[in-house]
Amino acid sequence: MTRHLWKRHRTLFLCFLVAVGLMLFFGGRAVMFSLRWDAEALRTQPLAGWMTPRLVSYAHDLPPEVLFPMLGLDPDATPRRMTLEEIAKAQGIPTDRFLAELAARIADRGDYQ
Amino acid sequence: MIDLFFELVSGYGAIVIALATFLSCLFLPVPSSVMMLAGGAFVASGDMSLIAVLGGAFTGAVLGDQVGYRIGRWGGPRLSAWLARRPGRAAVLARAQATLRHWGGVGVFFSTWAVAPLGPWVNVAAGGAGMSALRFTIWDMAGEAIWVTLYVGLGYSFAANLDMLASTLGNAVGALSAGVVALLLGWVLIRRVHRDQANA
Repeated sequence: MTRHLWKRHRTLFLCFLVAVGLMLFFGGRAVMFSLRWDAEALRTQPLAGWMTPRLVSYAHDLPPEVLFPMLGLDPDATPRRMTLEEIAKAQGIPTDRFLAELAARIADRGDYQ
Repeated sequence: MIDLFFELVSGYGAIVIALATFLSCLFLPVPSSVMMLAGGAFVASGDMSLIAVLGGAFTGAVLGDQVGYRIGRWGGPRLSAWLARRPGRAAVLARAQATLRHWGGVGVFFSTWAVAPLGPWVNVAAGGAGMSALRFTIWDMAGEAIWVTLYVGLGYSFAANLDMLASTLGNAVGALSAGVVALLLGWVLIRRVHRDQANA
C-alpha cells in the first residue's frame, strides 16, 4: 500500500505526510502549553512594556487609587491605552528598571496585606 | 515577538485590529487572533470599548473575505477555461465545483473561525466556483461573528494571562487546520487508490 502510494501518487502522499507531521507538531505544542496552564494560570504574567496601568491594575487586582500613585500618575488624568513603556520614557527611566521597580512595589504591597 | 503585536494594539487601538483581520483574511500572515485577544484584554481593563474592538475586528474580517471572494470570482472563469481545455482536467474541475457548490456554505462558515488559517483559500475557491455572493456573505458573516466574539471574549476572560493563552490557542488552531488538510488529502488519496484498483 505504502509502496503503491509512493510510486503512483508521490507528491500527494508527501503533502499528506507533511500535513500529518504539522498536525502532530502543533498538537504536541498545544498539549504542552495546556499542561503548563495549571501552574502558570494561577500566577499573573510578568509586567511588560506593552501593558497599560489599567491592565496591570485589573490583572493584579490592585485598585487604580493604589497603583497609579506608585507610577507617579493621577488615575483621572491618565489617557487610555498609555503603556508602561511610554510612562517610563516620559519619566526618563529605562523601561526595564521601571518595570522591575514597579514589580517590587507591587510585591511589597502584597507582603503587607 | 508576541509583545510587539500587543504593543501595536495599545498604541493604535481598534484601527490596527481591523487592519490585521482584513490582511489576515487576504493570505498575509498577520497574527490577527493575537491582536483580538489583546483587544479583549484592554476591554476588560477599561482601556478600549467593546463596541470598537468587536466592530473593528468584524468589519476588517468581512471586508478581507469579500476581497478574496472577488479575486476568485474574477480569476475563476479564466483559470477554469484554461483547465477545461483537456477533457481529463475538465471532469475533475466540474466535480470540484459541484462539491463546492453543494458544501461551500458550510465550508465557508467553518473556515472563518474553526480552521481560520484555511479561510483565505476557501474565500478564493468559493468565488472561483461561482458561489452566489449572497450565500457567501451570509455564511461568511455568521462565521466571522463567531471568530471575533470567541477571541475577543477569551482575551477578556484571561486578561491576566494573555501570552499563555495566545501560545496555547495558536498551536491548537494550527493542529486543527493541519488536521483538516490531512483529512482532505487522505480522502483524495483513498479515492485515487480505489480508482487505480478499479482500473487494474
